[in-house]
Amino acid sequence: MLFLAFFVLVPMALIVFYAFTTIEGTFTFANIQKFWIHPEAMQTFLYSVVVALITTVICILIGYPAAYILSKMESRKAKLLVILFILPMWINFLIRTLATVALFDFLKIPLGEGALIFGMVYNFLPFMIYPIYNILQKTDQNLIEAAQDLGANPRQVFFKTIFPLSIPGITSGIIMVFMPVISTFAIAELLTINNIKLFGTTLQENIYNGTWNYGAALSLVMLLFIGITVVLNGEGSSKAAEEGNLI
Amino acid sequence: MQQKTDNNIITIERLSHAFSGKTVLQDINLSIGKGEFVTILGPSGCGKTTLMRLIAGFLKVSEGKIAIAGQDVTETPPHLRPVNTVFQRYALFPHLNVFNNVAFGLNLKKLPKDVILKKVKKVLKMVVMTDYEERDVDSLSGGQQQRVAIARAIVNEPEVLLLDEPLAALDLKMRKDMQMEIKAMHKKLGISFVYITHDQEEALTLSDRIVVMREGVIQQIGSPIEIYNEPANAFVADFIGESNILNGVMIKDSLVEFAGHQFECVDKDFAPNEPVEVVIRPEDIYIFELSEAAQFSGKVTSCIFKGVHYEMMVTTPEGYEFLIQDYRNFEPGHTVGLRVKPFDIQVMKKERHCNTFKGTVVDKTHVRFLGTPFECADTHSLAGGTEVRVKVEFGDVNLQDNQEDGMLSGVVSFILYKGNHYHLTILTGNNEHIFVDTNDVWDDADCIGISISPESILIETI
Repeated sequence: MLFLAFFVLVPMALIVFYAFTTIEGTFTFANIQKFWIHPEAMQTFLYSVVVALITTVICILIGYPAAYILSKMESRKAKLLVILFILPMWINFLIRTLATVALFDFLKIPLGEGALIFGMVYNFLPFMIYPIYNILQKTDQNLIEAAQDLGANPRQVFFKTIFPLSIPGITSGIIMVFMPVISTFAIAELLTINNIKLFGTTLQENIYNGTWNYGAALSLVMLLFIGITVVLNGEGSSKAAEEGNLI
Repeated sequence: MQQKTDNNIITIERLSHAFSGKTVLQDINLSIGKGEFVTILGPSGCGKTTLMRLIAGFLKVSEGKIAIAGQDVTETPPHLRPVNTVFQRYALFPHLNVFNNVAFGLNLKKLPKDVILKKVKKVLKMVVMTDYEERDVDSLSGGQQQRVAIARAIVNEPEVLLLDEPLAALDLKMRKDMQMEIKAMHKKLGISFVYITHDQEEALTLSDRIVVMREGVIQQIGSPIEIYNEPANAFVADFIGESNILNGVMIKDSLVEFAGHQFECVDKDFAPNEPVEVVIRPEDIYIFELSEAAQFSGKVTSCIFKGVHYEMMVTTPEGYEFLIQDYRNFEPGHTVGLRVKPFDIQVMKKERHCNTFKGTVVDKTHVRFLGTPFECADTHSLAGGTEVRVKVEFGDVNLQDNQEDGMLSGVVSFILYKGNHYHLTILTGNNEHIFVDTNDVWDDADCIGISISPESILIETI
């Protein structure tokens, strides 16, 4: 409890405090207003959402089949492969991204938007695969047999049973990919040589430049945005958190 | 195609199934008639669920043939077989409500919406779940989930309904009610039911025919009355209902000796003095104040009130114990007279008289069988490597608590009380059976050490 108070509640309170105060400490809405009227921040924000959406969709498209194949494998083999998927996560992601930059240089592929998406997918794919794999692997074999028994061919078994049952895993994966992508800045900086700014970058710049109050307001906006998405996911996400979480 | 005229909906021929080298089913031959209610009965691990899964198509057949409605379906995938299954733990789809669970099969057939609606409503009415269409399946009780599972299967109008221990998860009262409902449903639908259970009482109540299985082998097929009154062997007699099973000797036709007395019986066609097993149901022994009418006598050792009757244990002066059920009760310590009518004595051929193993002589003092070299008193000076038949009397096998103390280890797989001793079936580490007569009390699934003294190992040349 004390831990939560110190490391969750106090920082949150501080963010809210900074967001609604000026440098002198007087109450103001100016920071929030600045976000709405300042086209640059708004644009970066929308751009970040688009990048996050694309990344998430690609992660689902690659991650779902991968998770499905893993779940069909003999469990010892599958566990080994899952570890191999997660293994890169043990390396600091800055170093990983720098290595990606080096690789792109070596292959003479220009850095930019494509490299950015690649970097995002590369970094966040395991967070999509794991929860989906987890839920697929736990799918009740009886339900699959029940579907077969009721006349479902293999395709129908997948689309009428396996897929709908795995949706909580996908939801969990989306939460773990979509949100962090909006707020990362290092990947964007390194893989686009600072040409493309994401919302995370804007946040970081503001904090770095000492405009803490505006930075806090932007953080708060993002926090609200994330909060709304989670709430919209509703039931699904809470179930997903139970069944398909990474940790 | 040739029109099949026989009345069988399912025909199973020489079906065997092995799973990772272990035989689960062995040479199953079974026909199930149109509209018949057949129960496959046996203790857990007897292969009954495997048999059901083979019929449904969830498992691949290793050997043999399965035909449903005249069509060979041995290689047919489950979704193309005209059977539907009610699963043990219901297996309802948690992402669908009651209506959509029941409509699952019909939706796959792409039937028109109004037809589906009508059919689903009809079966939900049949299982008394009319008002639950919109309910989440997770919010239903076990009994209600069971009803939905049955509705989901029968709405597809299958030729055969497979039920895999459908009532196992329900409490006793609910189970009794559902039994009656299932029986009524069977009458109304007129399709064949194949019902899997380990509950002998359920099997007797519901079935037209019962198939008793043990360790992958069919022990007996017959009507409930046949199975109860004329069990094919000691296993069936012990598994179905309660019984007194004793070793006996068939002196001549219609005269059998057991428990130290001779009794008139109705069985014939045994060799003179052939060792047999005798089964007497506890309700078939008459118990009364000791008088002239008594065939034999005994002392009551315990008496328990069981609701409809009293259950008494009576020990005879010869040292045999009998289980007796009667409306009247006799206090423990009381000496009583006992009598059995000739047709209440069921005489069965003995499946085996002693343990017989295939073995090989190792040297002058050792013989190898059950994968273990045993010291042997007399190898008839046979040369090492000679194949021989090894015989060990049931009573000569010694059992130890610690597996390490025996020459080999095993697990108690079946216990039969024979009035004055226990007859145990022990499964050894290399999947062979060894039978033991003992006075010690062991429990099912006990891990034990087995040893045999050198003098008890008899060797015969083949």
